[in-house]
Amino acid sequence: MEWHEYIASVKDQIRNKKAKVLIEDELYDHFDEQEKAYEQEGMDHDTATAKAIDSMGDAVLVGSQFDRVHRPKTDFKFLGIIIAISIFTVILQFFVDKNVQMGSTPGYYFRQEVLYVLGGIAIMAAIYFADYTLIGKYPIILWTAFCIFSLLTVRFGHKTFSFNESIFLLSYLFLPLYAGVLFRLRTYQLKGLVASGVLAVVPILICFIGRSMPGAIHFSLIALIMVCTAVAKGWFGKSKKLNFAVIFAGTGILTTLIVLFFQHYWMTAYEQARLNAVLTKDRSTYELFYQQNTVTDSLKHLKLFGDSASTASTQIPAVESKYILVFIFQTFGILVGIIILVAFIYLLIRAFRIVKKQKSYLGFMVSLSCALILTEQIIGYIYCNFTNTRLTVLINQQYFPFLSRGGRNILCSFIITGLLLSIYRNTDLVSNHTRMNKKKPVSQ
Amino acid sequence: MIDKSLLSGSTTMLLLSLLSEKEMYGYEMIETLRKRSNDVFELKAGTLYPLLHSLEEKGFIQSYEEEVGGKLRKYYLLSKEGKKYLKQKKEDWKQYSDAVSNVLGRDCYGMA
Repeated sequence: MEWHEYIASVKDQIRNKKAKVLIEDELYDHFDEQEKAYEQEGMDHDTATAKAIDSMGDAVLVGSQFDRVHRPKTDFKFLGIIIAISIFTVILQFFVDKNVQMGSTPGYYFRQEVLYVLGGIAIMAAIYFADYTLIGKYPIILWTAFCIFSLLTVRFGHKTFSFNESIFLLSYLFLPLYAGVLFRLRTYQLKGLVASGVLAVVPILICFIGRSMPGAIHFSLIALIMVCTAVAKGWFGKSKKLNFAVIFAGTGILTTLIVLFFQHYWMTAYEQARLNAVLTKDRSTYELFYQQNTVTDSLKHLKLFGDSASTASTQIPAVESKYILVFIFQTFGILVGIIILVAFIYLLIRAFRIVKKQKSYLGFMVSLSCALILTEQIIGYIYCNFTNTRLTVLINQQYFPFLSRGGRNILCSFIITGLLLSIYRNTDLVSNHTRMNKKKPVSQ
Repeated sequence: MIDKSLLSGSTTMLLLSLLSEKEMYGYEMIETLRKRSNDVFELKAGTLYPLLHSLEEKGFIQSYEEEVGGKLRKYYLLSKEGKKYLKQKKEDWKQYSDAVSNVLGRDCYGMA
């Protein structure tokens, strides 16, 4: 029996495609070493090969044992909490449709939301079964394609008063792709770090073109954490101090450029006046704080259980997307609101547990980007819903994962959680050095 | 209470014991085991690697890849959980082997 026949028999017994690649690599290395050892003992090549294969054990039995170990894994607790949240989303949207005036046809928005949730679950399932390592194989192609797609969305997509609604959520979806960029460019050391920084500027610019300052802020914050983590882990070489100095210098220069250049040459007179007003006007009376002030009023009447019977939440503009937590606390009571928040904290704990389990660089960074997106969305949203500050007005283009109304938000949440499930499924099966697009050493 | 799978599980204990000394790759483990046992334990690669993968899945060992002589080699090392598990396995084994020795010892007296 030749090696390629042996390994083909082993692989035939294994269902998991990624496991096949890793196992073939490891077994081949062992076979190669054993064959050389026999040759050194004085055997001719053919005898050494035959004896080395014999020492591997029965191919079918070996393959079956590997198959038992490498069954696809699912984080059922993570999946369970997603399903529970999805069910609550549907219930919530029923009450939103009932309580908030959103159109002339009763039930229309509810039916739409149910379809979005079902579509989201289908997309999550598709991503779960897909090969997430494509992000690491073709990072620049995917990055470029997504940049073009985002630019086209900004140009031709739906706009609400001059700003584009989609770009905010698209800015989040840049981040898993950015993980692939960092993964690929890490081998170029300091040059790779600088190139990663330059590429990160592109989504920021697209956010500004789409008039979404919150999108630019959210993307920059998470991308910065990802780059710092990569440097701290030594991805871009051993001189971490130099790398951190480059990151902070780059961030400083970029921030200064944005403040100086964009404020004077890019923002319209109205936007400048609005920004100045937000930063200087009296919050208790100025109309720009109307949303926040109404929210603050509605929160004063909350009950521990059930509907607080306040109409304040339905008077808040965009309550179904920007203030859904306030709506939940007001409609179902403080206790249910807290239970929902606890469910989302549990979701985050499970997400970071998936991050912690990753040994491969790519799995770690992509899962980290997803966990950070969820964390940032949840914390930022809670901050905007329950505090009344000037910062709230600046960053309040927010969506709560799964719960905020709108197909884009729901799909974005399912894409991120689908990625996390896919990464968990392939934990231990993605190697930092797994040959990508390479020829197998012996097998045909 | 002694683990009923003690006999079949002794290979696990031997491998974990090797890894408690130093990080090793698969071929090295088989060779070390063979030499130290005077050729008594001749583990097949097809037995070793599924077992290593299973131990890694359970969190008792970890692995990393390193380039040696132009090719990648996968090294295994003992985790904290693995150390605890090995300690327990060794205690079970001592209890088991003492019990076997006592029974065999009594048989010997009887025969004498």
